[in-house]
Amino acid sequence: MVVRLRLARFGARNRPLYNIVVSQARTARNSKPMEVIGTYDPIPKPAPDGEGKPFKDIQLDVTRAKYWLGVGAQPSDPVWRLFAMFGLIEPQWKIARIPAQKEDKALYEKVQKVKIIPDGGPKTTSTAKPTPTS
Amino acid sequence: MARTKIFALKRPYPRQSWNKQAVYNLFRYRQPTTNRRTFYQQKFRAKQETRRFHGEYLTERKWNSMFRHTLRGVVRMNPKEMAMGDGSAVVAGRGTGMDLLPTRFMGKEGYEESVFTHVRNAAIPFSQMTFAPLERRLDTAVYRALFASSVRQARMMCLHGKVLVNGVKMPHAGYMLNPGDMFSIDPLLVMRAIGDPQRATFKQLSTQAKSDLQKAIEEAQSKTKSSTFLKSSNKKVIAANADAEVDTETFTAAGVKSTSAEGETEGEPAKAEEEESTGGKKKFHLPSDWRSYLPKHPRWKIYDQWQPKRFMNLFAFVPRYLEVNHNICHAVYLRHPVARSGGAEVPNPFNDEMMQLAYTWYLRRR
Amino acid sequence: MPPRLRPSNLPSASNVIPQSFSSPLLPFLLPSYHIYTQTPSSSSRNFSTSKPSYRRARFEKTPGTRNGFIDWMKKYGPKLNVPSPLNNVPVYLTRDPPKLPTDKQALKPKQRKNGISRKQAQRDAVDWEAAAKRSTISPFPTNPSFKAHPVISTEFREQIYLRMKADRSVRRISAELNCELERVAAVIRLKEIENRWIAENRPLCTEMQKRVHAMMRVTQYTPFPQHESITDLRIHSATNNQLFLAVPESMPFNRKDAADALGILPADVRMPHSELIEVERMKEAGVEVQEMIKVETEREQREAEEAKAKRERREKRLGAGKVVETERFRFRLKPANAAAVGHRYGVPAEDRKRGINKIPTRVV
Repeated sequence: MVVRLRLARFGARNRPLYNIVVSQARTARNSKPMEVIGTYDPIPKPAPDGEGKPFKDIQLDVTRAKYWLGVGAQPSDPVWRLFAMFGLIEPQWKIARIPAQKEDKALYEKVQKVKIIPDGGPKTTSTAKPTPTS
Repeated sequence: MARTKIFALKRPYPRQSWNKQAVYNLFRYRQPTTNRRTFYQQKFRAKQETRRFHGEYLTERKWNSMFRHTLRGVVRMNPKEMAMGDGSAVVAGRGTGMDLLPTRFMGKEGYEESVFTHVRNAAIPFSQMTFAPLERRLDTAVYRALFASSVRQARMMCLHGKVLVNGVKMPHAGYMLNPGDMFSIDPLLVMRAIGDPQRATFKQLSTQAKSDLQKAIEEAQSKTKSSTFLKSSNKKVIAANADAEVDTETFTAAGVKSTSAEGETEGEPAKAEEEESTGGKKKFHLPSDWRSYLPKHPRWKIYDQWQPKRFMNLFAFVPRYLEVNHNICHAVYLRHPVARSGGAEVPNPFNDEMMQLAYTWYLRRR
Repeated sequence: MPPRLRPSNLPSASNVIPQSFSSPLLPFLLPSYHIYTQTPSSSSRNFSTSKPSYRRARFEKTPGTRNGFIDWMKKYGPKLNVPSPLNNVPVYLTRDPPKLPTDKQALKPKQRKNGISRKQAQRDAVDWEAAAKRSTISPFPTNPSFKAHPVISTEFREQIYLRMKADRSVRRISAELNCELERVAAVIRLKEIENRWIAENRPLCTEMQKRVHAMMRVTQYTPFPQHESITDLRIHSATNNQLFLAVPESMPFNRKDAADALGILPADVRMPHSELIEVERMKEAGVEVQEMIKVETEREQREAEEAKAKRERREKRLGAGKVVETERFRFRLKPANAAAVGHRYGVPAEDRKRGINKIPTRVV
């Protein structure tokens, strides 16, 4: 059986909250997983200073995530997206599209808008580079 | 929520509302005398009367769970006096008859306006703080900040999700505000709630506002292709032959008219509409929710021509524990209300004796 | 039988009812007749054979009917509804609402200009200076002890904001302008939002603000405004109960001793703006003004540094890790420990259980 990295939905009605879990692919969504390695809160909260974009929180144990990726666990699409933000894996849809769609200006600009702010603080911003990782 | 006749004229009771009957009742209201009544009766009556004003829509059980016997008070300190002595002189000789007046301070330099004599002169009206826990409720705070014309209206605003606390929708009227919480409502809603109900009709808008509004509505309709738009366009096609039907929702100089009114007085508005439409390019459909497009438009006249609701001046005060900005309809709950010598911060039409009785009732040691 | 006279030395309300109760237990400890005694005037009513006057007072001559209400509206409506007072004169409810003092000369038909209605002329002729003198500051006629406190004017708010922009601390602005610390902070917060709205070209309800302020007392900005007391000390709940402590008569017993005995901090520390005590002490000692300013600025710097360090610690705790910004959201990425993260398994969620409060207790 395949080991998957996926989301398990908790919270209440209209108020989801996800655990990022490692589990067997065929087990039920909320069954007890092999390991819980993080959480994802999809409900945006207003920015603390009142201006700027609303934020979403992702918590992740990066070392465990790396381990599970290393032993061949397969992330689901949403988890793939979250892991890509941590720089653990290549963004799924970017690889396929960016080189081919460069002439599609609107899409290209949209992609370029995704910024990654380094650890130093939220003030300094730098554009993400679509460099592939192994 | 209890559905009672809260503004009944037969027996006047004060209510937290700017309603004209409420004003009439508040005007006639006299506090009950206690002649020939037992202490229990006095307390019961006091509880009845005060609860009719404070949170009448709450069940007694709910209020009982909110009641606290500890009452908040503050004492004004005088830094100068504290700098001059460490306080030992005030209590020296306590119990020997010297504690009635701080005589050793009297006449001394720097003690003319002694804080102690000040405190002694005016007592702290603690009993007025009996219903202070209700002031923490979100709906009451919205009413106190003059964002609604009654507590029930404020409650409705909360329940409809119009009130934000720290920028987050808070649909619970019973949310207990914490010191430093900021709550806000859409200014348009506030202007309607505490403003004169004779709302500006479409006719009263300035020409600039009208064209802005038209642009906004057309833009929104073309963007969303919403079902309402399709419906209205269908209706237009269907009703193309029946002129009277078309008039119901068209952009006339006289503003939006109800269908029935249109049917009766068809002649004049139709003419006006024709003039208007010949001036413009084509007929424009004014949706029934046209007001919802207005706040984005700074030139809308209600912002300049706002009139207060009737009798608002009788209730126009903001308690000290709130800081309100009506420009943006935001307010901050600074701290919990307190009592100080010279007055408590809880707005209340009952005198100290009555509140004392009500407080004693809720101590549950009847 | 002739009515028996009551002894006149019954305790009357004025000398027995305590004006305040420092302890919540006190009203219970007092005998009931002490709390609610008859006033001398009301006791005399027992002799009369006529209907008790309170009943007449309660349901006045105007019966509580619709007609009575309409009559009342005709008679008192115009007197009570004053939608646009001037000079920040509050017009609150009174038993016998006086007519607003008017300048009768201005009302004469000759004086009235063309195009001005009678109503408007009447409104213009009101002498608001005279009205201010006789206006009441208590909105409830049955409870004169509740008084409406003034609010601060828009210009005052502007001044607070300007001082903040000039890098003055909230504490200092509060002391300079005699406004509570919380109020100063709130005014700045609200002003920032207002400025943002202006930048976004959102309409402000300036007219409503103006009209609302016109109806109530407003503290105008002056170089040394006296808005409210800034050194209000919260009465600590520990002081509500009596504490018996044997103290030698010869020993001084000061504020600090009292605080130690009660197990709380002394008033000198608990009081907001406790630094003013030190300032007064320096004044008393005849310290030079320059020296005082130096001490104060040093203290301010120290406080600012502490606050900054605290803020940094908090930021480090909350926002450690990267922030990824997409078109619509900012994702805050936080490192976690797999052993202690996530929703627990095997524990039922009790958030919908009966008896558990569903209303959140705080927001963000």
